Amino acid sequence: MNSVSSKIPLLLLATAVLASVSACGGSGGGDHPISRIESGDMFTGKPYIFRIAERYRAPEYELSAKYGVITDKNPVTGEQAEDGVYYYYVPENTLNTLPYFYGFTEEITISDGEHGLVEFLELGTDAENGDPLFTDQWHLKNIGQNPFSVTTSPSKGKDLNVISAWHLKDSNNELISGKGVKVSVLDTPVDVNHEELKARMYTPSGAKSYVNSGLTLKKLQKSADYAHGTCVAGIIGASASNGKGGRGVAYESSLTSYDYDSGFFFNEMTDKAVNNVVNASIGWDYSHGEGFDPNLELWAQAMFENGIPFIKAAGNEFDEVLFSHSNYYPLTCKDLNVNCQFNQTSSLNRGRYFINVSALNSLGVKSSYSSVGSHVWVAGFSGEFGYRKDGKSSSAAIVTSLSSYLPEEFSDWDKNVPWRTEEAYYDKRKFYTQRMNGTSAATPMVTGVTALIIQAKPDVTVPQVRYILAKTSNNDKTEGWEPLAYDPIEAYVSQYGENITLENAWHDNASGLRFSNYYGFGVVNAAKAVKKALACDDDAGCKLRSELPEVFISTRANPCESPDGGLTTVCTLSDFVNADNPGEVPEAFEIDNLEINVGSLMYVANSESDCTDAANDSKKGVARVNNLLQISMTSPGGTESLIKSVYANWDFSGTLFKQETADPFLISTSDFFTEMVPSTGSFKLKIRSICPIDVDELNNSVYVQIDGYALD
Amino acid sequence: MKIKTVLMSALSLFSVTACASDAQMMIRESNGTTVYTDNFKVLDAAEKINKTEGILGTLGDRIVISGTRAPDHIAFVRHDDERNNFIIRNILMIQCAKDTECIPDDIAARKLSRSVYEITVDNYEEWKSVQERLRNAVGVKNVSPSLYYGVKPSLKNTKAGE
Repeated sequence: MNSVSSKIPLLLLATAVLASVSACGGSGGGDHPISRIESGDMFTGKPYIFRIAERYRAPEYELSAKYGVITDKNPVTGEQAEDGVYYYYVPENTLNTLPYFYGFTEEITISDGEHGLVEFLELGTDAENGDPLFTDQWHLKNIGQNPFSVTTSPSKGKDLNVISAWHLKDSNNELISGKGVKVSVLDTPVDVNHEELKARMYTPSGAKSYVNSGLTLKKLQKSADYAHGTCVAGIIGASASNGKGGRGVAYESSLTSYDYDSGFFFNEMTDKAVNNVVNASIGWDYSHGEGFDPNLELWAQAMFENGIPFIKAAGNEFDEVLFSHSNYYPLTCKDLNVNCQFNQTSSLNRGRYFINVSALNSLGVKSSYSSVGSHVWVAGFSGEFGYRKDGKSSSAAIVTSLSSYLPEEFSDWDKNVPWRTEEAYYDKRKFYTQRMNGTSAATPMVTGVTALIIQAKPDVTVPQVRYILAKTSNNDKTEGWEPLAYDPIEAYVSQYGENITLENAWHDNASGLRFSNYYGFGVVNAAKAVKKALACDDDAGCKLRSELPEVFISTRANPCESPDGGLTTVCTLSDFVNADNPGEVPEAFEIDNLEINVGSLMYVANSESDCTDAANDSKKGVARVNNLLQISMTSPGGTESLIKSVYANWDFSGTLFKQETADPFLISTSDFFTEMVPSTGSFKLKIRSICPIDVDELNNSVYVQIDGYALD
Repeated sequence: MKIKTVLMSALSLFSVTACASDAQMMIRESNGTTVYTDNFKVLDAAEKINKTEGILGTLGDRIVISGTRAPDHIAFVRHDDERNNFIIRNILMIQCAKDTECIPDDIAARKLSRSVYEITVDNYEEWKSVQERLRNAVGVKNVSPSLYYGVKPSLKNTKAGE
């Protein structure tokens, strides 16, 4: 029993049972002993507040609850309640001992020791202020639930660990919920009338027509894909405790929808007063033409300088190719189950300091489709495909808001799916879907966690957000997450006449951080991330990043050499100077972000038709040669990063790029994060190709650019 | 100084067609590019259905016709091969070197962050002249035009088993 310390005299001689605590406010007059003033939330520790009727307030009474705690002090704020007012809450450690995690009937007893009056309080997802679909949101709490009729149920425990985060408090003694954080959703227009989202929408003053423009039925009927933004917004910030739907990761954040079809370089998004974090569940998959945009790079720079993280989907091209190259070579990547597409293509995909998110399914391993690469930062949950009508083996996808229109009015994502057709649940589910997936779904998971981080630490910088996520994510060595481990993949590549590493698996970098091209630094852990944010100043690396880094570039002349006419090229990139003050040579610095300029990576024509085609920017030639291109890099500390693997297709042509612009083409690796670079340190960039690289051309402009912190 | 190479030729005039009041303001470049500086309008996919006359060119999955341009569109650049046509917007983004105020006093600019500024121009001529001037300004690290290709990014969800 959990009791308040004071006793209340018993006026009732017999035990009386009432169906539920009255929801009336006021003084608890009449015969009703307990009146609810304010509802709480059993999943966050937010207390229920109720008043005991005056005649029951004498010291002889004892007030107790069977499962939760009753107290006269607010458990969140510490505020002492006025006479007759009490707080009831469910401690976090009690949640995991409940017979059924998502709800129970609390028994509140008023007793004098001999006789008692019991009030029943219905708590949980099906209560009046519950979230009925929270039970289906395994990414928030994975108990192995399977209301989706998929063939493989989610694996218990594989979730964001966000409930623990919700129990934490910010510096204002408010529960962590995303409150006060403004999230921009760069996507199809969000359905601003959706029952789960309308209370969350925020429109900055002076907003243009592409802001919160809403989702019309006409648009949805034209293509159900237009629901995408609504799905994303729901994952981030769907309202909680409103008797509807599920809830978002940052269920009290404010959401602003920016229509991605209106050009999407919206400079108002660089204003921290109206935007604290951007979610971009989108990609631009081509390296040239409209894919390259220096304007975007300055837009990204402005957001970075203003402390606005940009969370971006890594892509879904692990087992497909978008460049229409499939006719030019066999997709060996599929036979070997390795990455099929190198996604560092457009300016959007290569945004400097963007937090690229790969995807995990409900079984706790990489989603089958998730793009991977050295530019990935962390992984979020997205599931696979949910219920499959073709009857193939399936596992869960993500449950989130879909639209405010009836599913019969458009091409419903869940048409004829059991989760939709089950009559008993139709009304609760009709505005929602169980099929949201892709790195589109994984990204808002991380955005939601980032919103929680920002509430915990409002002055957090982008480097700090990246640091916090990297340091607190679950990797293959984290207890319970061992299934994240996978073996490196090697295969004999006949064109090279030897075994080539196609995937290099988890490894420790030289500063001790664990990294993988599949998962970046690992799967986001909301509670650990928020705790780290709250204690950022106690962590030297976090505190260091309260300032923005300097930029260092390598200046070694003619860094590249090839012993075999350009088939194997090694560039020794060293002699770092401060890019803003070239006379300043750092003694040593810590890596925060690293990019390599490969803008002049081009092929030399020779007797091989493929090589000549590639050198002349023929689509077929570029496809065939790039398919077998490998780019890797070794840091001064000895960490080997696989940047571009063999069989990962890439549409980049240095020949064409040189015609388009004199700007750099920067590709990145996250692998060396927090490693030290001594003044004499050098990076080895290694390029292997079946056609000779123009080493002279490469020598003209290749360099490594590092955002870093100089050692004092 | 970094300015997208494809636009370098747009900064110089090779010929200008004299215009009647209702004709295009058009500049024909020698590299297979035509720049329309007025009387052009973008139609989206829905609006372009059944439109067959007065088409100036394509813009991603949209078309451009004669008409009143959007206030933030100052030029339509069309390539002879119809590939990668784009709209020039009325915004220039400027990056100054670190700890430098690089925008001349007589150019109105909005500061977006510690090193990035936004300049709004009224027309194509101003767009060119401001870029030329900033190219030579002390402390300017980067001048970037805002271009619109009429193409949407792809959404990153995926479907199977339907």
